[in-house]
Amino acid sequence: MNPDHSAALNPERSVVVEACAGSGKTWLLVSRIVRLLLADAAPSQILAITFTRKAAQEMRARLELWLRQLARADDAWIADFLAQRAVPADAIPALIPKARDLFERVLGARPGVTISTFHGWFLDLLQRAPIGEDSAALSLSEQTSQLAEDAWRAFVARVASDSAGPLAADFHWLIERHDLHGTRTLCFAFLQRRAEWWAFTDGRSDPVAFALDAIAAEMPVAPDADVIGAFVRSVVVREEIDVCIDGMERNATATDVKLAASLRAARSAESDEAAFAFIVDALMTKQGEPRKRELSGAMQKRLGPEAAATFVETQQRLALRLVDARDHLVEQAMYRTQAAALRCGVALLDELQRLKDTRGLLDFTDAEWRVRQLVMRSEHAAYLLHRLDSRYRHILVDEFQDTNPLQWQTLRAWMQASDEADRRPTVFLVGDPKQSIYRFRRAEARLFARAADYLRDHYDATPIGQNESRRCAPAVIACVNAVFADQPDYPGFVPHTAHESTLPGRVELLPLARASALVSTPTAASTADADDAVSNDANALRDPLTTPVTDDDLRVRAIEAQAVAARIREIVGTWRLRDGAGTRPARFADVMLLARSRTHLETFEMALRHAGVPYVTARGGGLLDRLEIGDFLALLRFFVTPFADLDLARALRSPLFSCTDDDLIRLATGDGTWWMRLDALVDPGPRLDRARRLLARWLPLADRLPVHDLLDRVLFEADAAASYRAAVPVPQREAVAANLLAFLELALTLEAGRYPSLPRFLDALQELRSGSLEEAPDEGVTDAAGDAVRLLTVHGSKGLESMIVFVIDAHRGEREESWEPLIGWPPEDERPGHFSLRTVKAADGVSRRTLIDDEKVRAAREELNVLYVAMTRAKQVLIVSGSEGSKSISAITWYRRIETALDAAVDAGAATGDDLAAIPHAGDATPARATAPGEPPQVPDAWRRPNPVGSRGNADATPDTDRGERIHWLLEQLAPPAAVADEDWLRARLGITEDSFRPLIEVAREILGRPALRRFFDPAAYVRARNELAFVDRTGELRRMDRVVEFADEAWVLDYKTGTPPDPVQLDEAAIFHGPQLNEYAAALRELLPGVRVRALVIFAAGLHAEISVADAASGATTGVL
Amino acid sequence: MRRLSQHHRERSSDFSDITVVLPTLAPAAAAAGHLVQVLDRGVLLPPCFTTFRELAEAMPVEAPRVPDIRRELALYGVLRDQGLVARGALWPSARELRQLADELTLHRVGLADSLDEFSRRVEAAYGVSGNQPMQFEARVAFEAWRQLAGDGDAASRYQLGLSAAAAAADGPLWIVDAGPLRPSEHAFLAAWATLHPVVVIEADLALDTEPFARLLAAAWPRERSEPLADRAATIRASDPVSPAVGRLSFHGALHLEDEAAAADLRVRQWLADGVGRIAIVALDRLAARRLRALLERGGVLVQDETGWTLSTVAAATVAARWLDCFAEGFPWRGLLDLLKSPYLFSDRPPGFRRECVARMEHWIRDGNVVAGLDGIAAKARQADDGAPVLAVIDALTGARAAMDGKRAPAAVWMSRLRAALDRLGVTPGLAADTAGAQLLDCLSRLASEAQGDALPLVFSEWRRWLDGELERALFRDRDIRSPVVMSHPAALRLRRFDAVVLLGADTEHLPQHPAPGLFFNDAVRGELELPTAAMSDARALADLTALMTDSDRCFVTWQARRDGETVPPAPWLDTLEALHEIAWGSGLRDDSLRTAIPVSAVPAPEPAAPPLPATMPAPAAGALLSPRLTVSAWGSLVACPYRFHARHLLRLNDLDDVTEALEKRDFGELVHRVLLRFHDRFRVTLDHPRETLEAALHQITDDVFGRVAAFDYLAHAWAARWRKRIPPYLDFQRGREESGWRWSAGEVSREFAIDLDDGSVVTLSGRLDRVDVHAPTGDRGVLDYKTQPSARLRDRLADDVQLTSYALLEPDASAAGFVAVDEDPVKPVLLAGDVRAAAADEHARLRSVLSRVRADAPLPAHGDDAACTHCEMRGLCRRDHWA
Ligand code: SF4
Repeated sequence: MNPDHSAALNPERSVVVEACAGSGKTWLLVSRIVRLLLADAAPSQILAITFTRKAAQEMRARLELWLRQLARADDAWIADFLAQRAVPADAIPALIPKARDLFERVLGARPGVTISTFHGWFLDLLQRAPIGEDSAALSLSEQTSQLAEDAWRAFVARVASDSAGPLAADFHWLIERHDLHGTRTLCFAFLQRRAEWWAFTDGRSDPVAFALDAIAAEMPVAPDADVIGAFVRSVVVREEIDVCIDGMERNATATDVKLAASLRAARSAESDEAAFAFIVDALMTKQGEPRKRELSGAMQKRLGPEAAATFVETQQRLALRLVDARDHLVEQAMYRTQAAALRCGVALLDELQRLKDTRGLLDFTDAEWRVRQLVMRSEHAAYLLHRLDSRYRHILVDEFQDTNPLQWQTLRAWMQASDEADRRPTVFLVGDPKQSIYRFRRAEARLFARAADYLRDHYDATPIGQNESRRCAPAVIACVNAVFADQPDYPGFVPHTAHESTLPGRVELLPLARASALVSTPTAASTADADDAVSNDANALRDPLTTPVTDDDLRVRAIEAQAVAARIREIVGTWRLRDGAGTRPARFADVMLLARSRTHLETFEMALRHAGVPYVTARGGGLLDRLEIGDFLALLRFFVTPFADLDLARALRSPLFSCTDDDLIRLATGDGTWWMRLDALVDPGPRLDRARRLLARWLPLADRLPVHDLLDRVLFEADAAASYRAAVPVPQREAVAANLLAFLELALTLEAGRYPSLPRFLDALQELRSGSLEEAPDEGVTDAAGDAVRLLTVHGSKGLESMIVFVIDAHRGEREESWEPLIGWPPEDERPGHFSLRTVKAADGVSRRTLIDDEKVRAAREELNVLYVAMTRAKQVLIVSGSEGSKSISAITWYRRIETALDAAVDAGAATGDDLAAIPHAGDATPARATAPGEPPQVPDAWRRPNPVGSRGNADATPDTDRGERIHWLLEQLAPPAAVADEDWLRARLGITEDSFRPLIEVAREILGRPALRRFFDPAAYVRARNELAFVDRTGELRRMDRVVEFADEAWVLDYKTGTPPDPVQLDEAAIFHGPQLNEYAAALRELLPGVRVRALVIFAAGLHAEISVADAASGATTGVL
Repeated sequence: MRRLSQHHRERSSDFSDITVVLPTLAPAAAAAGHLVQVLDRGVLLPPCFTTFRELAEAMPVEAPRVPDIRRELALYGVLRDQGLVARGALWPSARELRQLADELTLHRVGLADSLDEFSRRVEAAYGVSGNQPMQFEARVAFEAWRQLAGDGDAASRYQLGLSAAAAAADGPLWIVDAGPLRPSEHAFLAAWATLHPVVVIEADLALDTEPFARLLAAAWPRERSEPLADRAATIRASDPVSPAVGRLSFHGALHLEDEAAAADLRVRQWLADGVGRIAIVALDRLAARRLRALLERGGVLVQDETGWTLSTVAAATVAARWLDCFAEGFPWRGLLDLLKSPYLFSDRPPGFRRECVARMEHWIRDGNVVAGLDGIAAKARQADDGAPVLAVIDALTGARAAMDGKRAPAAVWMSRLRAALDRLGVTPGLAADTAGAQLLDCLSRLASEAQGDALPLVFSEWRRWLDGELERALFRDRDIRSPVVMSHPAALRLRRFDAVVLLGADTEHLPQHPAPGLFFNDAVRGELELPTAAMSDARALADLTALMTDSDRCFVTWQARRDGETVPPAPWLDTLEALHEIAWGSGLRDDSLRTAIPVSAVPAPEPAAPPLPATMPAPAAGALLSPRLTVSAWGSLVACPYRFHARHLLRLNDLDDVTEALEKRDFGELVHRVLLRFHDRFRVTLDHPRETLEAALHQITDDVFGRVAAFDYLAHAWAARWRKRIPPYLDFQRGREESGWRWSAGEVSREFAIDLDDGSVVTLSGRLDRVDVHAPTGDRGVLDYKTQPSARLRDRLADDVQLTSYALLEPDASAAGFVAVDEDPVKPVLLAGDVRAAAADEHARLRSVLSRVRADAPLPAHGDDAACTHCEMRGLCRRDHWA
């Protein structure tokens, strides 16, 4: 039953596994880690690399789970576990104790198993970069788009600073042709591909010149050749023109007469350019095609058959020459564009790198490039190899199809360096070129085959193919096979098999939503020609108060979305899905909606909402666009900008305050800002009154509390969670609650917990929001318990699976790829062979045609990969939907492909597979929810009641007490017996400046020098003196007496009061005030020195002091001045 | 303490001759109290509790004192000037090398005498030889050490202090739970022991007889010789009932909030049950902050001993913002941010700053003043009441002058900064709050310690240095006193708590792994006899053990889900749980919290207001309808009545955003201006040679765009775009003239009175880009310039109100259309049919709709997707939350 994993899991062999979707790659990879550990690999010798943090997390979780299970399991379980992982039967008994021990051995290991993403690993390596490099000291910037914007600004400033300079000339050249927008796009596209640029020009002293030379070398014409001159002045051309003129004039049709005149004009034109223009006019149509010239009977009659033939032939030849010349001109223009764009791109890149440099930042691309540079230098590679505390001997790479050439080079160099250090690693690569969908992130699917070859040649690696899906039902697999097998545009596909051969499954195609299905509206009459006016039926003016606007294209998609939502409602609760050995009804959480792009997800959300289907969107980066988060942003904006009336109004309308439109209307008139009006409102009613109270409470906190603390107050005091819960429709509740928490967490984490002022926080969010989607904060994750449909892009679903998958919006046209740099990089090469930039199609030129076509093929292939990934997420059910807008689509869409596949499979409409509604109940009837909605648990009231504990305003933490403590300490240090003379030392110990120190020491010295107190500080006068005498009183509290001086007959306790001295007249009162404290001291002292008479003295600054009577009966203390 | 008291039961009440060295001073008070309890002898003189550091520092040492900062500055100078280390790594390297040198001193590691020998040791530890980068690393470290090792440094002084303390020994010495000692400390003990007895006390779990301690010992043996299962069996045999029951529980949280909420509830439960002292071990700082906030909701204040780096407090931010503003030339955002800090101008009456900022923000946003201080100053001078703002600007410029900006030693920079802060009135504000006062202290300390170092730094170097120092300086908020204490495991040693929360107890946070240093790895550190990761792990485990055994209850929580995967607790706790499960068949998870959390939150002081229906709003506010209505307002009514309600009845507007670069709509605006000036001069273009016209248009373009280009260079790019449209525009214009149309006026304001049903009048007003007259017929035509593509304009025409309204405003208009001026060729998109009739229809619609609005007809929020996508009123109509 189980496939044979003995080769893939043999810890001694290197292996390359090409594994189809759902074949259990993670299982295999983690199993191999276990096998390695069982074969005595140290945890720190294992390096497992994948592409996403999520995947790394999954691997680690799986590994830890297994090890924990092994530690607890009985022998039989372990034996079975090992057998499944292809451990030879005879080796199992001996390995059982070892397997059990892995848990502790691996968990406690430091360094442990490295399971990381490429980026994580690279950063790790950079941290250990040789000290001559600054990589280790840089921090990673994840907000690259903001940096790019700043760089752009700096770049423009640089152009502006020398507006007559060469860079400005290049910039303007681009601007002239491609506008600001195009120029920017071009330069930013260059930034995107800077790693390839670096690879391409690595080691070249003048990278741009090198790149231009390479482009020129491919061109059929020299960049500076005088194409027009050569053409116009060519003898052959002249002769041919003569023939043509002759032919035309003799043919003498009205057109020909005109054309001949044009050619004649060319002959006598003032300049080559003018001549060329005349020739073009004569020989080319307006659309730029050679004019047709056919050998007609009439012409033969007029010219004679032979001359006519020559004429026709000559004109055609001449036209072809002209086409060539024009192509050459396009090439030259392309070259000029390259020159300008590359120079601008490089200048922009310079600015970007300089910015990062001054800010001490580095981004992923830099990291990738720097690591590659490090590792490619063998000295440095050896250094890194030894500098790491981990010493890898086993390298495992998951999702290898997502690797880019730089990553592969780094990996290869690392392996080579290990070889040289006599630490030859075993290598395990697993991946699936069919799931390569990250070309836009520079992944190179073709590397897979190259790496397999390399590892076969150098590491004797066994190639293994796996085409059995452990995930999908046979019905789904059948559809996948039907779509992809034997397709000319999808070569190399090996049909899959389903491991779960009896798993019921179903594939459905929902009817295409069409514009024609709509009741047509009388408005949309648009025509193609400019001067045609558009009819606007005046009688049909819409009444905006009663009739909303409609838009057909949007409505078509809404119809699709409604159908999808309706289908989900039909399925949930009725269809039965496999659950362990039994079946259970489908629930919302079983359903995943996948779209190619996020453009229209919102329409689907709306439909789900209307249908009452709970959903969560894992639209990465959408958090800040959510309505509820917008409410908080508005509130915060209002806090920092009190005249932000709309923001205040929005906050009021939000569930935080639930004010009505009528409430707002009350605030719409009056003087001053809305806040002033609210503040002044008489009889505001309960909602506005509540809002006013809360806002007035928060406003003064806004510029003092950290954002998180402020938000917490808002959330708590306004009962935000409950407010939103009550206000938001059921399907969105979970998502909204999660978003609020995610936002709160964002407030904690932004700027790495550094205190961001509120304005700065808002700015930072604004930047995140306008930055690229990948950088914007994600929406909150709802609890696993939530039963909700998931909405994702196909890219976002990578690595996920679901019982029921809807591939939505599957009938859409192709996307044009232009403005993307053209990079020719055969994966086996160390560096690209070609690097150039692309603008509009017409400017592509001829020399790059092959490369461009090549790219197109790969792009098309990747589109199919995306479909493959989407389809193979489905375990049991795959449903495909699409809509057809007003624009017709020529491409074969996903929808069409599946349609074809289904027809071929069943010939019976748009569904195939099992009827899941008719699946018999079997096994357990697992409840649809993890937690049955029952009575909420009862908790003691005491838990909910506020229980104030602790106090603020700690008296010994004020600047005043600091001063007092310091004087005390100085008195201690300066008083005999061990008086310190070194003032410098004293000051240094206090850690204060001379300015602050001087007054303190003066106070101390004054006290010590006071004649009346001499006996307390003169060692000759007393028996023993102790400073800062610690004692523990009867309650167990540790206390201190400032100074205790023992004389022959009595002991004194001295207490310094170094605050503002009392008015001498009120000295008595001041002394009485301190009576109780000194009496406590005296009492303690009496216990410690039984039989000794104890007296007490309070010493103030400014020459004052007073004895406190500390009679045994410490009532009414009397004072006496010494 | 138990042993101390036992040992000295025979003593009198005076323990003061004994010196007890603790890992930190925090447990001293508790230890002393404990002594009274145990001895039951009334007042007593406790031993002298201290730490090694205190001991050393209490002894004046006759040696020059060179603050670390100065040593680092000196090293920085060397590294920088010799170009040994890349620029970005200079400060971190200087700091790390200084620490490394101190560590070497403290560990009395005699670095080899020669570089060669040292290199050999390093390479041996790395396990490679002849590697150049490695030799270089060894060389830099070696040189730094040689340069720094001297008498003035803190490490040497520490050693000298300790020797002096040993020489002054006057009684027995107790060392409690100090962990591994360094050679300097060993030497100290040896010296002390020659005069008085020395006792070293270490907790050893294995010797403990208490069942819970035994459990921990079984889970975390010092040497792992037996497999887990065997250890579990052994402990099960001796303790049939788990000693962890009721004493230790785990909560694997779903996310950060769940983690904090669980800890919050647990603490409140404990308090309700009368538990006295509670320690929260803040392993994860984020969770700790979250927890602190939650506890405060219920009135539970937390005494936070963790300390935050100074750079995370508001006070430090003011200084940072000031420096940002200074460095970046007062960009408007930074400026407003700075001025919105309550610390600024704290020497002036309250309200002064707020009012000034509000005024400045108005100017900046309305007037798009992005040109820094000068722009605002200009505005202020024009304004009647600009004096306060000018005072603010004066202060800012004064502060800027105080910063000087020229290269200078760190100490000079520090005093410049202080002077600047003084001018900004920041200092009194800082001095008045705890964090601020600590910041001022820190700045003074930096200034005085850097005194004497003459290395000149440029602003950015100094700034990096200062940021690094503020990152290192700790701020402790001592304002709160509470039995609920938040701290680090190490600081909680030897202190007894009734209950302990371990917050963030996952692999990431326990044990804490310091970021790898720039120099050397663990193997080399081991070879150099410096503390290694293994040693710090052992210490962390000892801390954890002590913490758990010294308290009666322990609650462990962590985020048990990441990226949808289940995450176990930290390895030690994971092992403990596994052992528990094997021994007694159950884990340590306590799921009772899961259901209790949602129902146990402290109730909010202001309960939620009753929710509004989640449906489309349709308010009515006829009374707010103003007697004047622009065409664009009418357009917004037609697109979405609610939007009209919010914009034009409530009169709400988005804050004007300051645009730093020219945008598409500004482009349109400029093109309008060019065309107006052009046609003013050339009413009939056919009367002029084409070259003249083109030249004139170019010249006007230069002028109009050039003004903008003076502060936005990219205006050149927009100008270039427009220049390409000049010939097609002229083609269009001449074509139009050839068919009889003549330009007659541009930017014309027109009004039209609409009588409503209730007898009132609303005046529709609009500004027409251009009115043409058809020479032969005298017909009038209204044109509107657009920069959108004509195809889009044609699509728009179906539901457009602009042209029909314009036709209404220009009474005799017989034609109306858009001109797509940003295209080649330039084309008009004309309203078809009978334009007069269309205008009449629009009039009828206006009258009908406005009459109903006035009569309080509901204004529904039914914009279509296109309208809603960028609608600023979306938060008001709350479309996204309708059911
Ligand atoms: S979001 Fe849409 S419905 Fe709401 S006010 Fe704006 S246009 Fe109207």
